[in-house]
Amino acid sequence: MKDIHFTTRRMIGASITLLAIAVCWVIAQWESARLGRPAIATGVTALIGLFGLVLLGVRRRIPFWPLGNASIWTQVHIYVGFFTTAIYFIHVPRIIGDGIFECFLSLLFLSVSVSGFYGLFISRTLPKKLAAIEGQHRFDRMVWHRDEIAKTASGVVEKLTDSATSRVLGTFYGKVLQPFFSSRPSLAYVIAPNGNRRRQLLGDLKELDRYLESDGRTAAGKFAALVRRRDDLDYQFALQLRLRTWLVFHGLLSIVLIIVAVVHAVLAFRFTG
Amino acid sequence: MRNDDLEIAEVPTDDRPGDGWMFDAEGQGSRTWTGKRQQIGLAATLTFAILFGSAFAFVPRSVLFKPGPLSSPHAQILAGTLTSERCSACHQDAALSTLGSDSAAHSQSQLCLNCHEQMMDRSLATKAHNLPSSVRDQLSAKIRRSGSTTSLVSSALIPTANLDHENVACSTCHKEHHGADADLNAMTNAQCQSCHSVRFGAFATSHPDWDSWPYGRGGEIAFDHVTHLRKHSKSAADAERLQCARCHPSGNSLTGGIELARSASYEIGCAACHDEGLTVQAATGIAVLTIPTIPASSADGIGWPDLAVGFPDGVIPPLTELLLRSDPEVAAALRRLPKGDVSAILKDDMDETTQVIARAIRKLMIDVSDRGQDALLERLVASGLTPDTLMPVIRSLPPQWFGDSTWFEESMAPTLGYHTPEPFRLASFGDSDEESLTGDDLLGDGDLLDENESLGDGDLLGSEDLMGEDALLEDPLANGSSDPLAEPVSPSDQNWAVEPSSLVPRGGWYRDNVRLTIRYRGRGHSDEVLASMIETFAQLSHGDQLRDRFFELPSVKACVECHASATRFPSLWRSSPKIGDRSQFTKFAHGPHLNVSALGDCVHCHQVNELPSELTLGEPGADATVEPSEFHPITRESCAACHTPAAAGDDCTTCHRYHIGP
Repeated sequence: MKDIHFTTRRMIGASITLLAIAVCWVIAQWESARLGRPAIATGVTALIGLFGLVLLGVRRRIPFWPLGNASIWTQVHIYVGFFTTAIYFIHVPRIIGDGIFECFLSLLFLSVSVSGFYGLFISRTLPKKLAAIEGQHRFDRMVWHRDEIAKTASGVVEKLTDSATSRVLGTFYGKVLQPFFSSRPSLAYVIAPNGNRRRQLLGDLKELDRYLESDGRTAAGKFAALVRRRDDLDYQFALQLRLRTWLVFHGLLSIVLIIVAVVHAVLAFRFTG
Repeated sequence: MRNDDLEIAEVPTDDRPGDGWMFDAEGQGSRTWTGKRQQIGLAATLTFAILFGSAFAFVPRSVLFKPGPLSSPHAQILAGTLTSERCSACHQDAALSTLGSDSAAHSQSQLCLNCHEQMMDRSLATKAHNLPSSVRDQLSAKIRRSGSTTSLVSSALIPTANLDHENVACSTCHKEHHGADADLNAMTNAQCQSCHSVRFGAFATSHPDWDSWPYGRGGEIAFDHVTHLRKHSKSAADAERLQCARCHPSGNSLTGGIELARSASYEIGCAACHDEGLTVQAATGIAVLTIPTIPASSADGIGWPDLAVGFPDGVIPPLTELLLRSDPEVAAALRRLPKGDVSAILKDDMDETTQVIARAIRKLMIDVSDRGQDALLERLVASGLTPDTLMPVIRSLPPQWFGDSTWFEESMAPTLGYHTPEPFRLASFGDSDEESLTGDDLLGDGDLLDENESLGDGDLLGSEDLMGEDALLEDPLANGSSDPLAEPVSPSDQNWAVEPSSLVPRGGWYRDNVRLTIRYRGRGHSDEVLASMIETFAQLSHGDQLRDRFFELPSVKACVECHASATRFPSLWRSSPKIGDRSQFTKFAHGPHLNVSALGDCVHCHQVNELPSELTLGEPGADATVEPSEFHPITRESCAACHTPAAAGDDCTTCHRYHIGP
């Protein structure tokens, strides 16, 4: 079957979502005008939406079942997320509930919704950034890669024979490069990775060139390459960690949200006069 | 020159995706992301469980699960109850400790009525508008007859309510837990109209016109504005008296000092012109008992007074008829008297009818003189009336007067001796045929005052009678003819002529021995005896001729001409403000309107219709069922000048109330 163009697919998805939201809004208004209980209709719809959203996580845990492309599931998840958020705003009398339980539930919903929208943003931006970096490293092997880079850097220092070069590069390695290669990236870098550190180190190495002979400059070039490789590794680590942390946060909160929403639904039906 | 030719080892390929742990070449283990994620998940689950457990343990469930603050009135009421009982005050399934619901529990609306039962009848509380379906059907039919129709747009945009009009829950309209300041009565126009068969859009453009509102809603006090203004506004003094504010002053305490009174007091608004006329009308009095004149053929053998023997004459007073007609035979006889007039009886029925009535009157008099007020009460109850309304009459009317033998020479004697104190007797007894007092008369030889042992030697008063030669010590019945009071009194011996205006000028009961009647003369306005009679006769059905005859009596007419609502049951004497009156669908408060300078002048809205008959009944197509008003109708357009969404509002609930009560 011929793939639908991305723009067309987005138009269709957005139109269906908006149409569904509009239909639910009209039903809620109609139900309210006829002295019915619109909160039941919108609440049940929102709960069904939440269960539908959770199904994506279930689908990911059973990849071997022929349940369709994960990409399609993700697309549906995104549009259902928009739809459920809109239904939430139709459902609630105020954005953050007044009661303790209701307030907790609304904060949970808003947290999951906001994290979902953030996830949508980073899932659209981070893959491009990751793809732009040389090398694809598995997250669990990043420590190994970090250690290997550190070992390689140490080997470069040990191979220096010229005393002047050894003194200059050895001193710089001991004071600057060795701490850089042997330590984990700082929290600040993980949160907001940038090229400042790389540029600083490469600039300092460049400054050493005037004190070095040819062999020394070759060694400095290897250090510069190791700095770039390590920085790329840290950059990948930061971005992957961001994606994985978001996913854990979004998934865990979603499960709590489902539990609390079910309790809310049970209470609402019990106390409906 | 940069050298990127680095000798870095290849990454191991022995990973096992999904494992929680990962080992290096030296066998050192470390958690994979999957392992860390599981760790985080476990920690989060524990945190969530502890959080929920703590909330359950330390926060009362009524606080924890309350969806939001109650409105201020409900919150104040429940503030005094135990925290654990707050939910169950309004929710039948509030027992959170059990999963099952109590099937025998009242519905939530019934729980509402535990507090609100003073406002509405519990049996009608869940019916739409608190009205029985028959009344709602009548109102719907009236609206359909008025020609009001639903516009197509309104019909399309407003859904039909999906509820049983016989069982409308309170929570259908009143939404709680939306905060202290939430409006529990907030309703949209569409919600109001969803139940109605006739729907419309904006008030200014499509609300049905009304006939004569606010006029024609009846009133407790009849007042003809047109006549008063047309005839009695010639002089400056009259004009002053007829200022609107004189009879409709503001400052009614019931409405917080801003609402207008519906009418002034009699003393302020009416007495200056009407007091004299009212006194004259009331002076005619009202008879409670009259001895009619009956032919000698009918009077023979029943001990009828000689004064009342002759050609048929006299009118049976309505009150007498009311006390007599519980007996079917008497009632049938009374029905043969046109308007109670004995003289109008047909000759064929004369003897039988008059005899039955005469015996009944005599029996009534004996009964009342014998058993006093109880006899009157029992006869009222036997007639199907509530005797409480006649209490002022019963309390003030001496029962002895019924047994006074001034009119009768012999027949009343036995009963008189039982109740009437000796000094007040006006006539002696003749031979009595009443068994109870023949022979062994309690006051005969064994008179207690004569030989009572308790008053003998051992009497505290000693052997000497302190009263000496007091004539009252002598038994007036002992020596019959020697008692001056025992002598039959002939009409010529007494002052029979009664002039009520001189005898009871301030009102009260009197006996007219010429007309053989016991009458009451009113004391003017607010006479409680006349009022009690009116309230009693108001209980009779509208088709009852006796009721009509009573309300035609001049002294009664003088009352009910103005107090028309007194003829209803229960009688209403004072005009009550319509503000707060829950019997009306439409509500109105003068207060906010009078703040608008243009509306401060009463005639801006209330223009007297100088020629009501020509303007209303004379118009082609005028609704004959609508009573001509003495005011020009207030039009929808005049209200819509301000009542728009952007100005004074045009919501249904601005002018209409849902809960209709008595």
